[in-house]
Amino acid sequence: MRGKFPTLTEPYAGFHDMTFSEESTTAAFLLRARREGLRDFGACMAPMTAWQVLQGIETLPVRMEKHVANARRVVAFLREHPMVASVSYPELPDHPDHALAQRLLPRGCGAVFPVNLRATREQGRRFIETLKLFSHLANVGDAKSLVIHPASTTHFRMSSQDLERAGITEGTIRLSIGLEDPEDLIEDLSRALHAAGKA
Amino acid sequence: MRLDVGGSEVYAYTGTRPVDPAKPAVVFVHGAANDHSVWLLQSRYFAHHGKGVLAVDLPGHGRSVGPVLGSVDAIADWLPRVLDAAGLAQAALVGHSLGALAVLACAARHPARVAKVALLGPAVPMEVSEALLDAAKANDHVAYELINGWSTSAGKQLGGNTVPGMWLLGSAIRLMERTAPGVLHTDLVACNAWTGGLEAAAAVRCPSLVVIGARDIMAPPRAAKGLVEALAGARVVTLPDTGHAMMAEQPDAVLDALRGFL
Repeated sequence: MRGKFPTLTEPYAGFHDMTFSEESTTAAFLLRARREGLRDFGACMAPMTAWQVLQGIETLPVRMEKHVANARRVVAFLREHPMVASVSYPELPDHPDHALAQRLLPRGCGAVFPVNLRATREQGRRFIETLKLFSHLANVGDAKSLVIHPASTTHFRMSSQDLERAGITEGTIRLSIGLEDPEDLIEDLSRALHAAGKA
Repeated sequence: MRLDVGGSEVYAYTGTRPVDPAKPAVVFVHGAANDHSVWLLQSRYFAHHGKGVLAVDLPGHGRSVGPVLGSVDAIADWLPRVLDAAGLAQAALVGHSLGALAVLACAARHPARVAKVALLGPAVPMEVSEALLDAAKANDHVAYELINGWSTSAGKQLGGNTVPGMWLLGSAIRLMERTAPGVLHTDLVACNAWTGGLEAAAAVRCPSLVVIGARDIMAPPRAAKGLVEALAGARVVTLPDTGHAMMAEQPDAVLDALRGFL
C-alpha cells in the first residue's frame, strides 16, 4: 500500500506527523477525514439535519426509480427533436461510457445529464427563460426538475473557444430530471425549444 | 517503528513520538487476532505525556512478520527481547485478553524487566468453547462474528461509539478479517491451553492493575476473581456497562484507569 495512498501512509505534518494507516488499521481514511477535514471545516451535522437525511434515505430507492424512469422518457423525447444536436446519457449506445455504465449502473444512470442544443448563447438563454416547470438552479438531484445553461450563467465569462475546450457548447443545457409527470416535463421542454428556435 | 527481534521484523506503534530510553516505557500487548490499533487512544496519550510507548504487533499480526507465537509463555519470553531491541531495560506492560495473560506471565518470568503490569479483560483460566475453537480452526467467518459479538456489550453492538459514525462491532470484525488464516485459532489455543495463571499471579512482585468490564462475557468478571485474589495488592477497576472490547467501548475510562496507575 505504501506509495499508492501517500496521504494515508506517509507522515502528515499537519497533525503531529501522524501516519494515518498506522494509527488505524481499518479506518485510515475516516481518521484523516475527521482529524483534518472536520477540524479545518468545523462541519458538524445538527441532529435535526441528521434526522432529515435519514428520513430522505428511507425513500431514496423509490424516488430513484422514478427519477430514472422520467429521465428515460425525457431523453427519448430530446433525441428525436430537431433542435437537439446530442444527448449525453450513459444508457445511450453512442455514449463513450455506455459499456461501463451497463456494468456499474445496471438499474439506471440517474437523472442528471447534458443536452447540446443547436443554438447560440442567446437561444440557450431564451430556452431557459421560457421553461415554466423546470427551476433555473445550479444544484442537481432535486425532487423538482432543474435546468441550467452554462454559457449564460456558470460559465458566462468564458469565450466560445474556452467553452469548447471545456466540452461545453453555447447550446449546452444541463438537466436534472425530477419526479413530476413526465408528460408535463416534455410539454414544457417542447414549448421552450420552440421559443428558442424562434429567438 | 520497526524492530529487529531475533532476525524477524516487528512493528511497534510509538504514538508518532520516538521512544526515548530515558523516559519510563510502556509496552501495550493486544489480544487474539488484533493489532496495535486497538490501543489507539491510550498508546498515543502516553506517548504525548512523558512515556516511551511501544504498542507492538505480535508476530504474525498486523505489520509484524510471522510465525505466530503459539503460547502465552512464548509471548511472555518474547516481550523482553522486544525491550532489548528497543534498548529498554524495563517497561510497564499493559495487555488485553490474550495480551493480559502474556504480560502477567512476563511479570512472573522476567521480574527484572517489568516495572508494572496492567491486565485488561483477563480470565484465569481463559477457557475457549469448542464451538469457537472449531470455527476458528476452519477459518470460518462465524468465529470473527462470535468473538466480536461476545466482546461488544449489548448497548454498543449497533451504536454508542464515542467516535460518531464509526461502528464498533463492524470495525472489530474488519480488523480480524485482515489476519492470516489460522492466526485466530493459534491465539485461542494459546489462551485455552495456559494453566499457569494463578501461579504466575502469585509470583508477581511489581504493582499490578486489573481492569474488568462489568458486562464482559468473553472474559466474565467472575473469571478474574481468583486472579485478583492471587495478585498481592492488585488495584482493581471495574468499568460499568462495558464488554470485553473495553478500549473501543470506553476509551476514556480505560485511559483514566491506566493514568492513575502508570
